[in-house]
Amino acid sequence: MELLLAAVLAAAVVVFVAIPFLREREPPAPLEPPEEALVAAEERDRALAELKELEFDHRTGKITDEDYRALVQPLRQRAARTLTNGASLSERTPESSGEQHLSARSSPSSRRDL
Amino acid sequence: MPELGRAALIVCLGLAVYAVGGGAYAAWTGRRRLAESAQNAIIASFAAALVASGVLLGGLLRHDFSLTYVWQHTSRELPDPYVVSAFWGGQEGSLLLWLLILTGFSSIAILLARRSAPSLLAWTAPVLGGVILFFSFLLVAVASPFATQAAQSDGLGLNPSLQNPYMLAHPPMLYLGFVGLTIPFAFAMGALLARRSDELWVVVTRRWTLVAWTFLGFGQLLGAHWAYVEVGWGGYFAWDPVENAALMPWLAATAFLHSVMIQEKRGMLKIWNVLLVIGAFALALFGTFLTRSGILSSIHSFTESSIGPWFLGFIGLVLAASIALVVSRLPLLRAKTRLESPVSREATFLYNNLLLVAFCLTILWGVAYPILTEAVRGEPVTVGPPYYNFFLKAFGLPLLVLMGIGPLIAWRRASLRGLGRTFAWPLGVALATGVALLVLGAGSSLPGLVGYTFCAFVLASIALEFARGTRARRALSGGSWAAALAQLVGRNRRRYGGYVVHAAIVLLAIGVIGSSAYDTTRERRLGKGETMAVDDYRLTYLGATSERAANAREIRAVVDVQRGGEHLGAMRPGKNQYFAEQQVSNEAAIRSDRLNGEDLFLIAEQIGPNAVFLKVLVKPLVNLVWVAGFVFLAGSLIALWPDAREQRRLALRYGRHEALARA
Amino acid sequence: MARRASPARLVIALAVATMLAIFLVYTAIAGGTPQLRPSELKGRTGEVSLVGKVVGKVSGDARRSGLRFRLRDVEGGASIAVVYRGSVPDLFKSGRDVVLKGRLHTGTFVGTPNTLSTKCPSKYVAEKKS
Repeated sequence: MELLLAAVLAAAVVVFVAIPFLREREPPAPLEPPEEALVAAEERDRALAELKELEFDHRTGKITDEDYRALVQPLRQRAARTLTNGASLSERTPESSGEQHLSARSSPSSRRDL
Repeated sequence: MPELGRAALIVCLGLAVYAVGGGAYAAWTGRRRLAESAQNAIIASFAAALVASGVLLGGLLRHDFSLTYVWQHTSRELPDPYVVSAFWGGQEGSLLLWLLILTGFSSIAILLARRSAPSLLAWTAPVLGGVILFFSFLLVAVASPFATQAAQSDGLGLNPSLQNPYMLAHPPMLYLGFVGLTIPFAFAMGALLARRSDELWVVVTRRWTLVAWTFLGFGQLLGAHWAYVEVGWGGYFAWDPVENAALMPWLAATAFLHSVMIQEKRGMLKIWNVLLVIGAFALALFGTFLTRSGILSSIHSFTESSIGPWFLGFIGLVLAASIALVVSRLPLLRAKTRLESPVSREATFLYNNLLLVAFCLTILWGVAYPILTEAVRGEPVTVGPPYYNFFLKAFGLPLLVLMGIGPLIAWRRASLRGLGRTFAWPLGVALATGVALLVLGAGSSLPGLVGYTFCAFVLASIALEFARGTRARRALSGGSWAAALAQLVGRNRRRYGGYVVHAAIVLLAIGVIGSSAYDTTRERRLGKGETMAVDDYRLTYLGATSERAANAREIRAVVDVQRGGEHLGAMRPGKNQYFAEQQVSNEAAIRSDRLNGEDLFLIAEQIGPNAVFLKVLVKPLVNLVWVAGFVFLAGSLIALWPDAREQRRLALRYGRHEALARA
Repeated sequence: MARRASPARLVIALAVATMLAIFLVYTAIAGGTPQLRPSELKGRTGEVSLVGKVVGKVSGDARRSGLRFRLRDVEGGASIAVVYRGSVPDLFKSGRDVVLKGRLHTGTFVGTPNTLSTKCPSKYVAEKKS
């Protein structure tokens, strides 16, 4: 009885592990943004969040008016830079980055694109 | 049935091997089906662990004393809830619990990350598999819960001091915390293995870390409460290696939670963060090892345990491999931004981290000291509470102050002028409190007075944060104060949840300071009818009682309590003599004052009809320690609560092209 | 490429070094009591922690003139006389492994009050009493 249950467990487990192979071929690569675009997006979000927090800190009185004036300009410039950066990177449209993925898939030694 | 249990564990081991080997190969070569298959193997390992756990639980509940483990840790008259708790009462069972939670958490992590982070997951899965492999191996080859013996009529029973509700919750909760720290570790290693320089792993594991940390923190408070009411020596923390075992990873995780915020806001400290998450995981393993292999006070007790050397070997392997990985990926982790000013929020977080890590290292040093000295000098030298308490004050007091300073300082750089304005009010409150307390007599303990003053400072700064934020929100969108507050917290759950947690820590600090710096202890022999005075309590011994309960003889000393002329009732400290286990347990009597949080704690020894030896402790404010636990939970819940707007933003950032492609 | 190193790294390194130094100094000077077995006790003055097994009859009263018992190495061997005043853990009895602080005084080990605790080897929580 116990052995039967153990066998059932083993069989179920093997089937579950084999399921992905029951598809005939490799599924297409998930369309994830390339590294640089991700890092740029994070940079952009970071800059925008900093601006937002600066505003909030100023409104709640943690930062004096003079400090605010001194800090806000460089932050705005930085945010603007990251926005243009991100925009230019995503200019490489889904089609072109899709091509990247396709060519990567065909070379089995590629480690990064999955 | 044990055959099924053993088979399930072997299946689990096999799946883990496949997950590591197949998963690593799949990530290396980009084979997606194999990667998915390896991940499925991990999910399947949860099923196997579940079967094994079911077998053990069944054996326990059926009182199957042919299973050695069941015989060792239960008995026929043990109530069912404690039979269940015997699952993790012994070494083998607690390893199985680790495996069950580990495979469970890994499965959830995989299912969630399949959608949001598939390429990161490809390398994370083998790492998870590696940890699962270690624990399955131990359970199969070194410490099996399914060892059998000739069936006995009854078991050895459970230590009576473990037979109470706290012990039902405390170990599983700690394990949820220990195991939970595996997930951020695995994702961090996965990100490094995949040569990623983005922060997806941080975003994905944020809630995991917070949940694990909360379980670890609350679990420790449960343990402290158990020690206080059950073991009943009058304290709640004795710096025992087993207690330190849980404190160390919690401190590392606290440091990590804070420093990861700096990485998020300013892109700094990536190397530090990775090292911290490795440290937290290694300490969680070490903590499990300390709790499982007995008291680590000398090499002798260590080698008695069969799993000791394996655990240390695994911890060594984990540290060596992960640090080697970090070193090899150093260029990826170099920060692009610098610390601009020693007076900024980043700097405060950095100092906070240094203090937390310093305190953690202190405890590690104290725990390892006997081993080191024995190896070097030939005889072990132990350090006791004076060592730990010294450093608790040395690091804890500055940490308190930083909790108050941090929120009030701006990022990047704070001008002294701005500081003066922001700090004026909290400093004022703190000074006023200090003076008031001094007048009330708190000067009897200088560290205590300083601690209280710092606590007032922090509470004032937290209150100020809430007040200022609500006012600003109200100025923006109008409405009532309550609505503005709700909106404020709703839009900044992590920040304001964090403030509530800080408030909890302050409450904890006040409770700890009150009950250790301002407590009173008196002990003497009290004859029948005699009265002793402790602070403003008057205690009179009325006589002894002896009653027979189901499994013990309960001997109690009846003590009448009065305070300021008012009769407060009778307290009954005493002992229980357990028949089956042939042991005596201490049953302290505690009276908690609702109004001032003070406890009157009585321990009775040598209880006789004509006299009793009574130890009396008065512990001011100690109940704040327990209240702090609930405030802690509330704060964590607020911080954890899903934020739809943030989820959308993150989905957009990380899945942008997927969304575009579908459009 | 010339790049100023972040002061953060320096701060961290200095802090770690300072901490290590503090620990070493503290434990070297103030820290720690040596933990000995009864067989290692001969000729030792100063306060030590004694670990051993209680053997023979236990007599006396820890709350009055003193609890008297004999302690030997856990592994076996000759025993020495111990006298102790203070709180006694509930698990204490002959045959148990205990640890207590104290010093050797004319052949008898005199225990420091309230430092006696028992070790319970088979269960995973040690009894505390101090």
